[in-house]
Amino acid sequence: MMEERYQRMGLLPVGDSEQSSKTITEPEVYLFAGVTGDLHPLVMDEPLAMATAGGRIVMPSLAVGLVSGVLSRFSRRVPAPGVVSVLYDLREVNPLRVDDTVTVTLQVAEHRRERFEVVLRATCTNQRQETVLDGECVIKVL
Amino acid sequence: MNWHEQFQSGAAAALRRTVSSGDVTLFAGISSDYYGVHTDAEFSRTTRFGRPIAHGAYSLGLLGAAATRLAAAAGHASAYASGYKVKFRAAIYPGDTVEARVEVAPDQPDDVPRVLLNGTVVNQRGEVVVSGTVWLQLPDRPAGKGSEG
Repeated sequence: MMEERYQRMGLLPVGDSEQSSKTITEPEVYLFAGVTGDLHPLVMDEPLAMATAGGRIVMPSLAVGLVSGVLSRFSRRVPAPGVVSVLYDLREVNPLRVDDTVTVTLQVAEHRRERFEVVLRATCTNQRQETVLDGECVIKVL
Repeated sequence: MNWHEQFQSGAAAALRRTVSSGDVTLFAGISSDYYGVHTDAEFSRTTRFGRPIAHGAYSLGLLGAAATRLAAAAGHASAYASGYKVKFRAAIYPGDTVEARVEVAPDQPDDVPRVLLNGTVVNQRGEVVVSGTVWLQLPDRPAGKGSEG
């Protein structure tokens, strides 16, 4: 049973990475605001955002969602009962703006065998290769 | 006084929401996270959850929404949640009513212009589904524009 679980961890070897790029469009930003209830004025109010932040920004939580999207590619490698998320530790580095194209990269950094946990390093960059979000995600293989 | 020093320890804001399966579907579409526990009822049955659950990242969005409310109440509406360090303790199922709450932490860093918040998401049975910390910060202001706080 335990051996089988270690084998499933082996489907996510240290060093393996996954990457995906996506343009963040205004409709997505508005849908995201609707599903989360986060109607931040810098997201929803163009004149105010122009005056205080040089234009509308995208909430870092949306970038966290994109990290989750790339993370799911790792999760789907593991057969049932699959994996669960344990911890996300992600910080904005530079602001993300509407119509930016974000590249999300996740790489397996570490196995914590005693807990069946896999640590992944996450980085999001924009079309100018500036880092917009950075940190790590920990998942547990069940 | 710097803007972040105006947040009183213990000041809090919250947001309640009955999470719908539509929220989960839309979140899957926006994030491109189609992991089976969120989008595949059959696969979910083979996991510990039994049926589809909301994304962990969705609960961070709810904490961000609570942080937006806290910032507005403190008179710094342009401050926003810029970072998260959270643990996932239980699942959110469609139909659950959750409250995302953030509170200004008692101990604040004195070297960065950010506010550290403690955050929790609690379900209708009082179970903590997510807990951790959230960073609140002001946007970078382009040179020559007005300042706040």
